[in-house]
Amino acid sequence: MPETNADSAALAAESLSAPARLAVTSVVPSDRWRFARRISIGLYVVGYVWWFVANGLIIDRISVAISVGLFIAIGHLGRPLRRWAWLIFDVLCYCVMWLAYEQTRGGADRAGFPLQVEAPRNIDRFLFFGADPSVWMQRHFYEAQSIHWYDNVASATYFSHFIFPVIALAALWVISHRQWARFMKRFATLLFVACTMFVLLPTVPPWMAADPKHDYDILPHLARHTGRGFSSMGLKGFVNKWNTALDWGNAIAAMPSLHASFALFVPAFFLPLIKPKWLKALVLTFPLIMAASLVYFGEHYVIDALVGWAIVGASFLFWGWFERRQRRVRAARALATLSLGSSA
Amino acid sequence: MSVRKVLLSRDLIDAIAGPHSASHRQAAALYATLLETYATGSDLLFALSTDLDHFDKATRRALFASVVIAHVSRQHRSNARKVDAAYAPETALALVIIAAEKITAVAALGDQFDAFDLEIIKPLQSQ
Repeated sequence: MPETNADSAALAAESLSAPARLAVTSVVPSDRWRFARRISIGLYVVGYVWWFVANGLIIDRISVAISVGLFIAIGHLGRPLRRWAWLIFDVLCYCVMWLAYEQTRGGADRAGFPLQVEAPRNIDRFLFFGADPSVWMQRHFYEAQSIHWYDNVASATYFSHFIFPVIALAALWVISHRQWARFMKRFATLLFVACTMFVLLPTVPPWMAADPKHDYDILPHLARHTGRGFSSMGLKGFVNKWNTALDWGNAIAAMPSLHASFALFVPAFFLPLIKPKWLKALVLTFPLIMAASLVYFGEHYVIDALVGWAIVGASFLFWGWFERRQRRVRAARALATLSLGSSA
Repeated sequence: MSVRKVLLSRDLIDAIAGPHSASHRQAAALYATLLETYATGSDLLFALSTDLDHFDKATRRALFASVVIAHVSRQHRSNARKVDAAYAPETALALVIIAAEKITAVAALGDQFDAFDLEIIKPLQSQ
C-alpha cells in the first residue's frame, strides 16, 4: 500500500499473509451435533418426499407451518439456547404475519370497497391490442380431452408456489439468521402491500368473470384447470381438514398476484449469489413461466402479475436503500464518537 | 452478497475505546478504515459479546454501532476450554466464534491470530 506520509501510514491498514498457517477448524473442537443434524435433515427430506408421493404436496397453511417447524427444529439441534430463544421469537413473528395476512385476505370482501370487474380486463385488452390473454391462450393451447406437456409444466409451476418460498425461508432460517431477516423484511412488506390492495381493490379473477354462475359475463367461458396437469403426473395436493375449517380464503383477492410475486421474489433474492449470466437468465424465466401459467389457467390477468412484480421490485429497492442508509448512519455515528474520544 | 466478515479482536476494541491507550491512534485509524468499508457494504464487523460487555450501553450503541455482537454461549465456552492450552483463553474463545460464524478476517493489534489461516488486518506502524 503506498505511503504518502507518516500519518497516512499509521492510518492505512495492511493485510498480512503469513506462510504455513493453521486452519481454525483444526484447533477448534468440531461440532458434535453436526452429524446428528445432517442425518436428521436427510431423514426429514426422505419423509417429506414420501409424504408428497403418498398423500400429496403439503399446501394448507397449518400443515406447511408444522412441516417447516419440524425442519427448523431439526436444523437447530444442538444449537445454543440463545438461538432457540431467537427461533421462538421468529416463529411468533412469522405466525403473526401469516395470521394477519389470512385475516386481511379473508376479510377483504367484507370491507365494502367497490369490486373491480371490468377494469383489469380492460387494462389487459389495452396491453394486448384488444385481445383477452387468458381466452387467447386457452383457445390456442387448451384441449379438454387431452393433457399436453405444457399443461404439466404449467400445473407444476403453479403448485410450486406453495413450497418454493417456504423452502427458501426454512433453509435461510437454519443457515443464516441475518439473511433470513433480510428475506423476511422484504417478504413481509410484499404481503403487507398485497393485503392492503386486497382490501382496497377487491378484484374478480378471469375465471370468475367468465363463469356463468357469477353473472359477470364479461369474458367467454374459461376452463379452470390448475390441477389437471399435476394430477396427470400422479401427484396431488394435501389439504388437511383443519385448514378447510378455517375458511379464510378469498376468491376476489386477485390483485396483485401473489403466485407471480413469490415466483419473482425468491429468484431475485438469491440472484446475487449466482455468478454465470446464463444461469441468472435461466432462473429469471421462472417468474415468466409462472405468469404465463396463471394467465393460461384463467387465475389471473396479466396486469395482476405485473403489479405483483412491481411490488416485489419496490420492496427490494426500499429495503436495499434502507439498509445502505442504516449502514452509513451507524458508521457515521461510530466515527463521530471515535473523533470525540480521540480529541478528548 | 460476497461480504467479508471481520472480527475485531479484544486488544483492538480496548485500544479503540481507550483514548489514553498507547495504541489508540493506530487502532482508531484502522477502525475508521473498517467503518468506511462497512458503510459501503464490503465488510461486516463482528465482536464477541464478552469483549463488549464491560462497556456501557451508550458506548456500545455509539462507538460500536456498526458491530454485530457474536453472543458467547455456554456451549462456546465449553468448546473454547477444549482448545489447545497453548492459546490464551480469550484467543481460544475468539477462535470458536470465528469457526461458528465462518469469519474469514481478524483485525488485531497483536500477533495472537497470525498463525491461523485468516486474513489478518493490522494497522501500519508509524515511521
